[in-house]
Amino acid sequence: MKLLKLEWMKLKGHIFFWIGLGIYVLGMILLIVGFGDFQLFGSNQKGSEQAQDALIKIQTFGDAGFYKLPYLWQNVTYLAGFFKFIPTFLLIFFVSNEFQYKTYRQNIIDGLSTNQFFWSKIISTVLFSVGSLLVISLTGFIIALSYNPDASLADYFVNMDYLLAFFAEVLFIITFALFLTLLFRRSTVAIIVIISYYFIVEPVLSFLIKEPLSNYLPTQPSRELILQPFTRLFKVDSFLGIESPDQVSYKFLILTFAYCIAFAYGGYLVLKRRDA
Amino acid sequence: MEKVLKIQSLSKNFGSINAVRELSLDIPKGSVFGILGPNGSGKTTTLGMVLGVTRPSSGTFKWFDESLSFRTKKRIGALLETPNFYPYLSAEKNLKIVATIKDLKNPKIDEILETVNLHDRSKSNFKTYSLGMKQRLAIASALLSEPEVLVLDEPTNGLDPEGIAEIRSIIRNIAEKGITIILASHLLDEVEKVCSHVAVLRYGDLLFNGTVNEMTGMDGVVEISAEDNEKLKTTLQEFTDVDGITEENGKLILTLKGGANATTINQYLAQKGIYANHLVFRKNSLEEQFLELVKNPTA
Repeated sequence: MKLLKLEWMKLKGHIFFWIGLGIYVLGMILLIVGFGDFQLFGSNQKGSEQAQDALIKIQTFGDAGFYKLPYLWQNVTYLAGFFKFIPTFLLIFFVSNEFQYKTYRQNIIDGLSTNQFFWSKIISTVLFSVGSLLVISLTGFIIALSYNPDASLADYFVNMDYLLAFFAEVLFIITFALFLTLLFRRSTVAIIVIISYYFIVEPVLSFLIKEPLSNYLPTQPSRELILQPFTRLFKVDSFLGIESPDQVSYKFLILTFAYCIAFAYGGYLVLKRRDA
Repeated sequence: MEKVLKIQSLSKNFGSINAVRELSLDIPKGSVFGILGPNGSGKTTTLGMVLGVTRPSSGTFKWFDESLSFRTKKRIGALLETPNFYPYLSAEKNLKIVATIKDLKNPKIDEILETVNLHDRSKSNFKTYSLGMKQRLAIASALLSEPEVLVLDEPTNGLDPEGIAEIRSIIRNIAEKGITIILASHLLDEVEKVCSHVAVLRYGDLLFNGTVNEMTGMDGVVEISAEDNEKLKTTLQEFTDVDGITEENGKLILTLKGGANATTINQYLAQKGIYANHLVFRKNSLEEQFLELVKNPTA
C-alpha cells in the first residue's frame, strides 16, 4: 500500500504520464470507433470471382461485422495491441528517470530497500497493464452496446478471454521493457533495444529457426495470443485455405505469463547485484 | 565515548582499483566529523557503503551498534554527492515522498523548509531551483525525520561564497542541537572551520584519524634566530629535545620531540648564554599538515 502510494505520488506529477495516457485513451477510442467507416479496397481489386463478390458487398470494416459479437473482442483487442508501445515507453521513461535523477539511490538512502523499489516498479507495470485493459474493455462495451442492440447478456461474455489475452500481451511487453530499463538504466538504449528486438531481431531469428521452436522465443507467445481477425472478417479463409482460430491459445497464454515472471525475476537480479 | 558509527576494515574494489582499502573508523556521538581527502580518495564510496547504496567488497559497519536497516536509516539523514530529487515535482511534494518512504505520520514540512529558507519557493518545481537552493532542500530532506546523525557529502560544492556561508551556518546550527554530523569534503578550510574531528583519506587509505586540534597541533615547529646562527645551530644540535634543524630565510626551523616547546628551548639557550632575537612557535595549519600527509605515504 505504501509502495502504491509512493508510485502514485511519483507518477501524478509526471507530465509524460498524462500526455501518454491522453494519447493512449484518445488513440484507442478514435481508432476503434473510426475503423468501422474505413474504406477497404478500391473497386478494381483483383482476385477470384468468389472473392470479388464478397469484397464488393463489404466496403468497410463496419459492414464486415467488425463490431459484431462474438468476434468484437478479438477484433478490438487485436487493433488495440498496436498501442501497447505507448504504456511501454511511458514505463521506460518513468523507471529510467529514477536512475537518471539518482532518485533510486536517494530512495534507498531514505529507507527503501532494493526489494521494495523493485516491487514498486512491478506495481507500476501491473498498473499500466490494468489501465490499458480498462480502457479497452470500456471501449469494447460501449461499441458492443451500440452495434449489437439485440444481443443478450450472455453474448457479451463469449470470447471475452481475448481481454485476458490482451492484458497478458501488454503485461508482457511492459515487463520486458522493465527488465531492459533496469539493465541499461537509460531510456534511449532501452527503447532502441526493445524496438529492434521486437521488430527485427526476433522475427529474423524466428525465420531462421522455424516453427515450432520459434514459438518459444521470448516475444513469440505474446504475439500468438491475439491473431489477426481480418481473413475471417472478409470471409476469405476458405479461399486462402486457412482457418482463423477464434479462441485464445491457453498454452501461449501460460507461456506469456511465464515469460513475464522470468523477465521480472531477471530485472530483480540485475537490480540486486548492482550498486544503487 | 559512545559511537554512532563503527567501520571495520571496509574495502571496495571497482575491478582492479581499490577505491577504499581496509578502512576502520569510529565516529563519536555528538562530533562534527570531517572526512577529508582529495577528489577520488574514496570519501563518497565510503559514505555510499555505510548508507547502503554501494555494496562493500569486504568488511563490516554498524550504526548505533546495529546493522543498517529501515529502523537505523530513519535515525540517519543523508545526502550523497548531489541533491537528488524529482525535478518535475515541487519541494513540498518531494519532501512528501521522502516522508512516505520514512513512514513519517506528521512530517513538519513547512517548518523544515522555513529553517533552510525555502518556504517562499516550496510550491515551485525542483528543476527551477538554483544550486544553493537544491543543496538547502537536500539538507531539509535529510533533517525531515529528525535524525540523530546527518551525513553530508560535499555540501558546499559548486556554491558561491554567499551560498557556502549559508550552508555552513545551517550546519553549525544543526551541530549545536547535538546532532552528530559526518561531513565529507575536499576543502581543508571547511573542515577546519566546521569540524571537531577529522579523518584524512588518500587513494582509499586512511592517513590520519583524530581531533582537528590533534592534527594541527602535532609536529609544530619553532622558528628561531640569534646574532650568531652558526653557534646557535651547533648548540641546539646538542639538545636532545630537538629532532631536526633546517634553515629557512636566515632562520632556523626546529622540529621538536614530544613534550618540548618554545619555553624549554628558551630555557636551554639561556643556560648556554645564547639569547635569541626571534623565537616563534608555529603550529602547522591543517593545510600544511594535510599536504604533508598526502605527500608522504608512510605518515
